[in-house]
Amino acid sequence: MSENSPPEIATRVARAYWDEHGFCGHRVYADLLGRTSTSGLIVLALTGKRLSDEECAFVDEIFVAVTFADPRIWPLKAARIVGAYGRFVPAFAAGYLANDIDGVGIGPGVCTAVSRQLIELRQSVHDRVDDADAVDEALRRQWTPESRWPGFGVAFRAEDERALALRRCVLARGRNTGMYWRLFESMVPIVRRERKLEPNICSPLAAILLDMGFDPGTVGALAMISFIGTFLANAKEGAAEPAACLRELPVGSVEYVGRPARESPRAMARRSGG
Amino acid sequence: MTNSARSDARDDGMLDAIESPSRIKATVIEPGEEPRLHGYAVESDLAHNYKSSEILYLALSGELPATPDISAAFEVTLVFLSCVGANEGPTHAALLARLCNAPSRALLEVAAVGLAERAHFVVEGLGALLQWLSAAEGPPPQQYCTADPGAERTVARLRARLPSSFAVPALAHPLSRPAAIAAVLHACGLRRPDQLEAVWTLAAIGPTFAEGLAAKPFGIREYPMNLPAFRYEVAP
Repeated sequence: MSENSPPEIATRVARAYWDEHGFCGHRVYADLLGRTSTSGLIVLALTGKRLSDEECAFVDEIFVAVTFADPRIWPLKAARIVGAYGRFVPAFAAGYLANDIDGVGIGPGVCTAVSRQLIELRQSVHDRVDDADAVDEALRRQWTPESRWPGFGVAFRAEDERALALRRCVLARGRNTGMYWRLFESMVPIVRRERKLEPNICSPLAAILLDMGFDPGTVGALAMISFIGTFLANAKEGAAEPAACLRELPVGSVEYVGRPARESPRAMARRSGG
Repeated sequence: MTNSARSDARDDGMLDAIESPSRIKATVIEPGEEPRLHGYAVESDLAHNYKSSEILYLALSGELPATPDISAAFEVTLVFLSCVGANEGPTHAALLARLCNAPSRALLEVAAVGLAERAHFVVEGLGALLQWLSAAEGPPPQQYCTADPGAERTVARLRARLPSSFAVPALAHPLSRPAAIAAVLHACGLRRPDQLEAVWTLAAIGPTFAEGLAAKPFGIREYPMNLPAFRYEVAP
């Protein structure tokens, strides 16, 4: 290696061989083909972890439960607008980029921040995740009156039906015994009482994924990808049936609220012969 | 949780039951037969009296450069930031897109995403410098200083290109190249991270696109696949 050669990069993703390929520590044809579902492959890709059939079925349910694809929803509409020029991939990319959030915001990107908050809270209460007083006290320490709690707050309706659906899946599978799920359940009445906020999809989703052993970064990535159906459907239809009115709305559909009309200093100088 | 929340307008769907404005609020561009940018008529005023770099400054700051010195200094930074070589991520990625025979618009999209990510990475790393520039006290944080002769020469060239009457006191310190450019932008009045990220991205989009476009579609055998090399490690 010469002095200017960059260092070798370690990867756990893949290696191309001649008649077989390595992928995340497994042989694609010998180990994965016919033995791994789409959700299993996605989780393997994001986490390096191979899920059991039951876990894969649960992830499948998550993917379905989060589906909320009305094209008027903001990042999905961004996908539709870009798709209105006729191309699927840019539409899909634009939708996902519009939702690339790592903190308080709108969309699954919030799950990274939610999972960090849940971990911090869990560290505060240790194993007393079912102890409402301990959780309340920890929340008061962690939560200033001004702070917003990502994962709580539901737009336009009293409760998030996706969170309710996800909860039904969790209960049906007996997955309500995990520490983070129980912590989340303990938080709900406290946040409801103190802030008058209900959980949106991001907090139960983050709790579930933390209980499956994923770190916050992976939780965020998995949450983002779990919404893939909503983005795919809008990007595909938006590009296949492009709507001219999304490319350009009538000028009257814009209310300009910026600086009033003015003349530039150079224009004024020209006019006055300066 | 209870399942009590149901819209009365169930048949129309949840979003149909919500009152929302009928118009999009716009703050920067007033569309119309002659659009206006922050209040200035684009075609009859700005196009007649201002350079494109000044239009970018207006877009980002809300005001035209207050003095010819600011205008000149801002233009110098745009030129200094214009070239991101193929050894750097955004241009390398654009070039790879072209090798895959990506059409020009996709290449432009890859370049824009790469440049925006690079800009955020650079500007995020300048956080303490921006605080120091605003406080204007003491020496700059050590991590933004360099004794590298190459950086010294490039900063010297930057100083030499600025109007002599344009004061950037921070350039008296041995700043690294990005820190020196940020100092000039700060002196121009562009001080927010989002403004700096936009300048870092937009200044380079043309040359980055051009370098990518110059690559040979399907030229994969001429591309150094092992630059850098990857070592596959199977997780234990």
